[in-house]
Amino acid sequence: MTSIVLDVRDVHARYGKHEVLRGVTLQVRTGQWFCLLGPNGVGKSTLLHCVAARLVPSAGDILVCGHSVRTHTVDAKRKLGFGCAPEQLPGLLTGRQCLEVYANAKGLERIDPEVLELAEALKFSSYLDRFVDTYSLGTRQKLCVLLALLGEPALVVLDEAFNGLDPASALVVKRHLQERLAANRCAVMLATHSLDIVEHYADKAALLLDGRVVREWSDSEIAAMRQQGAARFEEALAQSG
Amino acid sequence: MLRRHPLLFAEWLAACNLLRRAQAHVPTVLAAVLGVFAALAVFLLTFAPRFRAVFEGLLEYRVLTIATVALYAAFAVGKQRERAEVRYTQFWLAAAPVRQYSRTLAILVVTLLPLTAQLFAVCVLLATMGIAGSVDAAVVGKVMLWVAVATIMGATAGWWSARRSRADALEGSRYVGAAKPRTETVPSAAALSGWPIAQVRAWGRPENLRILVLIPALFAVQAGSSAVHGLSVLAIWVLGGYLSGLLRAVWQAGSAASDWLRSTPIPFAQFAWAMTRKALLHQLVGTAVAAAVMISLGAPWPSTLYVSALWLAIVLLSYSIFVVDAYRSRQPLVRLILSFATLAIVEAREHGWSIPLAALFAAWHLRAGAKT
Repeated sequence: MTSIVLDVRDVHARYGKHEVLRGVTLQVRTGQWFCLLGPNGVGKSTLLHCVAARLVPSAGDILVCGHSVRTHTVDAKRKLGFGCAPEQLPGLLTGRQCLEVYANAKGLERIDPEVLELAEALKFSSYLDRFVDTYSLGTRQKLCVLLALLGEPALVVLDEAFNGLDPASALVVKRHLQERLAANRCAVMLATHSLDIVEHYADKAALLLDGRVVREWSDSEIAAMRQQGAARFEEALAQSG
Repeated sequence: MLRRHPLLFAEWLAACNLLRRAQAHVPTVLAAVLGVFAALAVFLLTFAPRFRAVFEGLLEYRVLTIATVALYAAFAVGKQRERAEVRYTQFWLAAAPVRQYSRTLAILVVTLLPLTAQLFAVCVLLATMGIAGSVDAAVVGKVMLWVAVATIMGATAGWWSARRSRADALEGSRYVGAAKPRTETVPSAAALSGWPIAQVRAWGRPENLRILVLIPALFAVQAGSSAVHGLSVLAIWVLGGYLSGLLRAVWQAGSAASDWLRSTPIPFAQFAWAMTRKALLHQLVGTAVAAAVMISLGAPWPSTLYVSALWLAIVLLSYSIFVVDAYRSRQPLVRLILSFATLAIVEAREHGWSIPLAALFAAWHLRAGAKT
């Protein structure tokens, strides 16, 4: 029996008067690749920001490895690896400095060799000593993924992390995440529009519409659709929407 | 009329939406406005007896006043025009068929609007100072006229001297210098403490500094000073510019770093120390060097020490407010205004007392931040 890494309990979130999340409830277990789907502007990124404690929910609670992001924020953040948006990376630091600062902020004794190996596999090593503001979108995206994986996080939260990545690099990242999941080292929460990732990699998926989870797909349902062909998921999504 | 000028129309809509958004934060905006007015009222009431002397001084040294205002206007308009040129080459309407005349009009409005607002604000301030200090209306009017004329002259010069369409003008790290390649990657906050320094170096590019260097050069020549004196003044000016830039850079880098590191469990003390460590050291060394140069130029050492200590107190207080507010994702303006208004009042009443008070305020702000 795997443990619950992420427990989202009736979360509401708002920007000013505009309520974006209206009672989201979901759970993600260790070893699960969870995909969050939905059209633009339904609150996917907002939910991820609430999970990463970047935004305080107006109601409800989120537990990361049993720690509430509202009351035990620091403990929750210790278990979390968040891939920030590429434009949030500091342009005046080098890639190596970003890794060092992020690791320091997470209180790590050393940089995980595995992350440096992934950097090598992503052909990112040659960019390590260059300033971030000289990076392309794909290179920034690689750095965001590397930062999210620092410090053996129990929950890896990624927002459209494969946007801008070349197919070879995207495959390297997907395989790396799969290895971590297979060893029950973490859970992955990915907001995406890419249905092929859902079909080929996800263990669980949910569709967010108007700030609510309107449909969830279990591992067996996704496996069944995988066998029925590539367009099957698209159809199911269209019917739910 | 606006609809015939797409760039101006887009700017107008954005400004309207910004105002509409601000309506959702009425209490905050109201508090900020009240804070500014309260600080202004305190300033006017405290310093009213000195306003007559200020106006007389401004009139007596009118050439200096006009030159300073004109240089500022030229610098501000030049920078603003360059920014506007770059902005419109990268604007979301860059590919739209906008006529050159319409584009130039948009650049003109965007460039001159901030300076016009500043001129208006200065005129209002001068008028209220005149009323509070019972200064002759003719004197106030004359000063306002000189300021307005100098602004128009400077703005015209700045508009024509600005270089056009430099797409790379705002590039961040061109003058930061390449980082030394390393083989080791170890967790460290050292890069965080170097970030404000890198930010100042990115701002301090020659094209940004050229007019600033002209100001002391111009005055040094007018004063007929020796080469050594001229160079010393220039050194203090450049050093002052660097230290002032470093003051602002801690806020800029601190808020960006806090936003980036929000999902990490970084404690406040670690964040604050990492953000300010190197900047404080640079401020300390820079102030000591400036003080030494000033003493070598013949400045009395008690006043030099006093000015240096006052500057360091200002730095300490500003940094403490900046790191706390960056960590808490708040705007520091109201706290800055209130803190410095209090210091100004105390300093006006008891000479030198503002320095320990600033240290006390800094400790108080940091303590509040540590509770976050």
